[in-house]
Amino acid sequence: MELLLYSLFFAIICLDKKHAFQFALSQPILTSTFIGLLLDAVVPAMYFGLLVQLLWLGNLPFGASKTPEGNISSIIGTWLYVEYHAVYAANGQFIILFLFIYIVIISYLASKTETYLRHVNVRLFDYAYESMQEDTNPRIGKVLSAALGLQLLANWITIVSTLLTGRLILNHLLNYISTDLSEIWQFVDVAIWAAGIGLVISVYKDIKLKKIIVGIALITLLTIEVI
Amino acid sequence: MQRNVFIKVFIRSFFMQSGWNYKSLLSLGFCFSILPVARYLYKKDKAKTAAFVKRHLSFINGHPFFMSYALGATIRLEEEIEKGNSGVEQLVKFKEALIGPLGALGDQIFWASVKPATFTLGVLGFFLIENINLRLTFLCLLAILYNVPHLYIRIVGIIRGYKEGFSVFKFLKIENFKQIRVFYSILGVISIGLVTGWIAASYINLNIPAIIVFVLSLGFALYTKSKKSKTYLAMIFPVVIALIVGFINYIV
Repeated sequence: MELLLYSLFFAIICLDKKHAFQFALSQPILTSTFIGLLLDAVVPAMYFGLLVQLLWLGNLPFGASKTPEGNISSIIGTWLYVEYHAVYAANGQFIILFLFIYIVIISYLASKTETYLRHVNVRLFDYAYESMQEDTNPRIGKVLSAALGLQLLANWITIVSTLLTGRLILNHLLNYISTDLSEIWQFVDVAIWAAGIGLVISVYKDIKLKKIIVGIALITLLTIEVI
Repeated sequence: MQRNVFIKVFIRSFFMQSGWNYKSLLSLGFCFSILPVARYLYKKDKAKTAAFVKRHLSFINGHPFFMSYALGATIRLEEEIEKGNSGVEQLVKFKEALIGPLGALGDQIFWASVKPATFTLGVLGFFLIENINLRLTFLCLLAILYNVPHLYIRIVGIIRGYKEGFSVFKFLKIENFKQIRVFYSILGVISIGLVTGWIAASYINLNIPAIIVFVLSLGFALYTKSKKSKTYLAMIFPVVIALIVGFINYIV
């Protein structure tokens, strides 16, 4: 019951990304905090939320372009991280590796679902247009409610199904992963941070800005090392 | 036009993208937002309301926040049409011409400046602040930092669009939003620079394999995204690099 209620809450939050309001509530840095507060594990939730936050900032949803649905997948990743990181602490980096791959796959599938729903919205649009006769009241509000409802349902199904699937896979997988192999995935979080930084820097097209970023980074690094 | 009509349009504009579809893009959201104007101008004249709805179900696109300028100007032009001072054709052409500027401005200002700057600052803030209560306060500040320009554009857009009507075109230039763009660009550049330095210092700590992973991953992601626009490859390949380096480290 808790799973259904919480996932419904996050399915509603995810509507904020594109479909309604757009107050940026669905950004991983915020949703991970909500997850942490709900599951009483704020620190690990925030850690994972921060780790994946930068990955999605480089995706610019210009016009009708399709971008990965990173916000919804980050919710699932953070939720699973909170559930597993403490129990399997010795395999922490492996859990991060698995969840990273898992959220990338979910972001792709959720993006495909959204594309499909945009096609469904064409039918809703046709219905609104064709039913607009001279003696009827406009049905735009009803049509928009239907579009929002379908998106909410898709979000909810995505969260619940991928959470359950993720649990199933992790429960199975973690029985076979030896802690002796932890050296192999010890740098996974470094790579995720670096990929996130690279993706954010790609937003700044001007070469001068890129040079300034490198300069600030070097000064910060040297200052911290000296201190 | 009564003030409550503007308020209704403003509230409804938050659903601009709810009915996004491949045929008319934002038209369902746009039409829904502007419907209170039809109810105000045509009251119970169903034929005129139907004509109003049909002309606003035509193809339109733009950045969802900046669509407020199109809404404001359209309210003004609809008033002119109702008074008989303007034609429907002019309005349709005007809306089509707004698509380019509204999209380009919003994308540059919000998706490429405000959003990355705000949430990169968020990551930086979480590194610097360890106290949970202070982090929660900081999150509220982030929400304000993002939503002040967001709500400003939504509100001012409707007002300015209504005042200017056709002339709103002249105002929709990047120079007129330079302050927002420059402020958030500076904030973003400083934040990502500090985050990079901080992570480099925290995670690498003069560990040679980690330095290799960090530098190669960052460079690869930046190159792949900037030059090839391959997002998934830019995310996945750094992890492959990390696994290869980790495996070599494990064997050696």
